[in-house]
Amino acid sequence: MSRAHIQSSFPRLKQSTYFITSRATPNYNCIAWAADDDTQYWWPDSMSLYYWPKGIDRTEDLDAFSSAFATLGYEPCDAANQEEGFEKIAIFADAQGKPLHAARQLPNGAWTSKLGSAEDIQHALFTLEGKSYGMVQRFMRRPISGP
Amino acid sequence: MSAVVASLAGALSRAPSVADGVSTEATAVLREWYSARRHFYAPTTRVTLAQRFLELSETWREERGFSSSISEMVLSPAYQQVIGLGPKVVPSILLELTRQPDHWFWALRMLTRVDPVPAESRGNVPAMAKYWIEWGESEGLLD
Repeated sequence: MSRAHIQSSFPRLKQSTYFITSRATPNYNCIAWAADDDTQYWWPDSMSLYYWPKGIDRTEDLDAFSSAFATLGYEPCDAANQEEGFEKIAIFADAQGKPLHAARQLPNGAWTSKLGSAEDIQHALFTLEGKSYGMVQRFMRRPISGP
Repeated sequence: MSAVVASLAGALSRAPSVADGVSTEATAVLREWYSARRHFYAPTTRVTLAQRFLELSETWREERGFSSSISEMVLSPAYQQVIGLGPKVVPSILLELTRQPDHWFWALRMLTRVDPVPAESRGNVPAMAKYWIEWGESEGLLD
């Protein structure tokens, strides 16, 4: 997708700097990328065609998505600020609490997102809020593992 | 031209006869014209199933935008139209998977009522495509 196409769906990106950091691929999605997994597509679809952590409800709500990230050691936290010794993810959802997107904080404090089946971008977290992905509704963090 | 056609159509609707001045040949021409007109305004009659699938797949890629949600993707109008094409479209979908793996697995599952992807490969898009292609080959759908 071109930058113009990306910006047409996420107009707030124009307010700050963002970078396209990968090629487009349908092989993984934002949830997988937030989980630092670029090998499979995560989604709790009702026919169980796609990856979803074992034992976690296959429902499209914030609790199920939080539980999926909890399997990786994430726990709820309050805000997007960078905290030494922790890495964070943010879950976006619509007004009904249906998850639409997730992003992961990078060591430099910026955030990285996979845009559906398109590219990864590095961006300021809240610039993806809007019609396409709703609003950030949950933050989670986990200790950064050693080298 | 349209006045002539309207006149002929009116004549035809009145059970044409020699007395009405509409010959058998004119009636045949009118029927051909109506057939051609129907054909012209119904594009699906002019394209093959494979072409229709490719058109819909392009529309679907535009419709899904930047969504990660499988449920949103498969409920998009173009995706639903692909499923609506019925089992005859399965070879076209499988051929597309050989060229460009994408999220056609839901449609294939709905259209074939089988799922050749083992549990450990679910979510691995290239592997899912491979298993479906192998299934298609075993069923003789990719010959």
